Amino acid sequence: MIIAFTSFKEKIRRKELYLVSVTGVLILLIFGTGSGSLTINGEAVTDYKSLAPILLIVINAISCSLAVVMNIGTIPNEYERKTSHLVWIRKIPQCRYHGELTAANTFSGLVSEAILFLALFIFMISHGRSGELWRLLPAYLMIGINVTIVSVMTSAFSILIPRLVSGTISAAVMLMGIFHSLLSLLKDIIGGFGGEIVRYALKIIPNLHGIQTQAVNVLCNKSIDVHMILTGMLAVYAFAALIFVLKRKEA
Amino acid sequence: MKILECNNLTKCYHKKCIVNNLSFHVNRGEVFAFIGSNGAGKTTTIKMILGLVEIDGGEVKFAEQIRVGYSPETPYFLPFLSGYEVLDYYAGLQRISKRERRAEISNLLDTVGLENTGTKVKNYSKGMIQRLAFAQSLLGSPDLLILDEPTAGLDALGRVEIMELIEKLKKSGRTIIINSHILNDMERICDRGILIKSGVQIGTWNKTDYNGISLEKIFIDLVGGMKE
Amino acid sequence: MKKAIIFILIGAALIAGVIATGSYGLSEDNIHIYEQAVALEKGNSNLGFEGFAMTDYPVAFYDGDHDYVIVWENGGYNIVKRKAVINSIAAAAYCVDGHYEVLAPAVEKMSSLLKMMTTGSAEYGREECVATLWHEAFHCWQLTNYYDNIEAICSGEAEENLIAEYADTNPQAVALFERQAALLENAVKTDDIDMIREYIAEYKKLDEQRKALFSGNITALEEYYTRVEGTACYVEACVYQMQLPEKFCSAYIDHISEYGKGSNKYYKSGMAQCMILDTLNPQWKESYDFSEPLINLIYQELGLACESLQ
Repeated sequence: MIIAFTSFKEKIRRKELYLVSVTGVLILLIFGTGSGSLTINGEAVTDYKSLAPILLIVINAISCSLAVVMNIGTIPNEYERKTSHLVWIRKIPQCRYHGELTAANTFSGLVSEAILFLALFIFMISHGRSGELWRLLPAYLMIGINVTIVSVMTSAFSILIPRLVSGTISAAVMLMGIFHSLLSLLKDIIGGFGGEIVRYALKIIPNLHGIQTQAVNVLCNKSIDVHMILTGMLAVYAFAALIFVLKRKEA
Repeated sequence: MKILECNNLTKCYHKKCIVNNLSFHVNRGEVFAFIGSNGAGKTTTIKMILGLVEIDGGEVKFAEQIRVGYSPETPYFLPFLSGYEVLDYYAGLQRISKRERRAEISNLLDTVGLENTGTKVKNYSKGMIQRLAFAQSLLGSPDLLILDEPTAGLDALGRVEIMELIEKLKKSGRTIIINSHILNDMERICDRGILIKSGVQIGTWNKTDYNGISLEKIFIDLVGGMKE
Repeated sequence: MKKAIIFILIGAALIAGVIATGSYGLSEDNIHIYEQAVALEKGNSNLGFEGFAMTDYPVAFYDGDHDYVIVWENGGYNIVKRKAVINSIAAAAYCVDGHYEVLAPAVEKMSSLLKMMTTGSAEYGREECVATLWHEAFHCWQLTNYYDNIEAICSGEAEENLIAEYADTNPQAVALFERQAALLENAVKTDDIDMIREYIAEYKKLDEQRKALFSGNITALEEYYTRVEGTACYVEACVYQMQLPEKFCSAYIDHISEYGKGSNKYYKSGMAQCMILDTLNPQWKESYDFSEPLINLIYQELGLACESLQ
């Protein structure tokens, strides 16, 4: 794991990781601790059961977006600055090389997610939920599945597709995954050929919203859908398999 | 005794052949030169030898089980690492044991004239980076060393330092392939080589055969003094 | 090789897990909802509407891909999978191959839709689903048996947006409606016939003032919603009360006087009129054929002179 470790060291030096994470924490804290007010349909949302899901949705969106940003250029950068040459000549298989770079990015994404979860930690304490803090761990792991899906997917796309295209595709898939339920509704509303296209797209787009819902359920003491979580893990597996299968022709 | 043999190496991009039917061999213990102007196909040839680009035609044959070291033309190392850490990273990739690593890295830093002071790569000069690239290519005592434009972008003093380093390696009996367009340097340290123009071999050069005739003259005669 | 085998085994385990935990066909939740809805019919027959039986109408749950049609036959039910007739995003009564069916999104879909629209704060439980099925089944019955009478209420091009365009934007009409709705709520909450007469007499005066503000189209549209949807909403409320009597008032009665834009306010006032009729004459439903405004029946029961609204 020496490539992953070194790449991770490089990632944690990136200022944007902290900038986005800390900004995210501040925004979450402003709304989560009552310093700011969040209104939905003209009514202020202040209670735990309404705010906690919103905070998780925001954390999920920021974490997934960061995952795209961090993964979009990592593998292409290696080839552009030709650090890949010194790795290839040492007979390191591409699957290990790309796999370790992806692992480093995923881990960085999970670190930024952990920073964002700090806001949720403070929010729970400020709402007198200290006894339920343990719920943060499973919720963190569930959102972590989403972060991993987006990281591994973006890295897989970036192996062969130019950075701009792979970034656009990854961001689009991420957004569609986050708005999976909304798209499902849209499919039913528009119907016809467009609806059929959305229907098939939804079958291959990871249901990030579904997994996020399970994290919300954990936080709000509701039952979780194991199937949804396993499906998310299968998505990670499928994209990881792509990382191992896709190969560049030139270093 | 051949350490490397290339037969009819060919590489084409978009129907244009960058390297066309190039054949040569390198003997153990010699310093072999790829001589040619910029864009002649020297670097592509090296990349084909190293497996960094796919070969469209021909073959590369190494003597069995040889280790190859490579110093790229424009080396990039993570700027937040020290020279020692860079070498430690690549030694790790080569699965050199931690115990051996420490001694070998100190030895290599000493060989290339870098001090193990913990200075980060971002504070290195071009010459220092080139020497660090040299050092990483020597990790694990390779049988064959391939140096791509080792003096590119260096000032006169830097060039002298690198050439001295190569001479030192030559004296230690290492087989080296050098790719350069700086003919004086090549003439000084290489034993043999091939001259390439537009990916095609236009001649061979052997220091012993051309005693008294400068490599520059041979090159100009063959290339015709024309820019490629 | 060893690593590849481990990787493949992990994949196989994940696929097996996904298959094992997945739901195929119609989920148990939907079936339980149907069973619960049917069980209510067994105990309470037709809620007083002669000939109405919830089980007469197939219920098709749409899971996002297919319809799962539950048909009641010979004291039991069959489930048939078919291509979705429409992509239901809300429950509806729909004519399929010459007969009416209840088309509804599967409960998982409905629940996720509601969570999405309310950021997870709204609860759409089994009891609400059961009540909705009855509501739509009642529409099936209305349309099967009284189609002509219903069509006659609101002829021509009347559309719901007329309500938003005219009724909801006229401050005088809004104020009058709010007062009328408050009177209906008061009348629903009392068993005292004299009090009801007082409220309804006041209601009648306000109603005449309000109707004078609009064209016949809007009045007809309002009457359509009050009569057709109001009765269905009444059925829904009765079913909800059978299941959750303790929540019934807060869910249906306490909000009658709340004004809301769109057509939903007429559902509530129609429901309130049905409830008032229950107090005045519990047998009113037995012969009701949707040809007469509910409020007219109330006026008749209370001996208040009225003009036909048709």
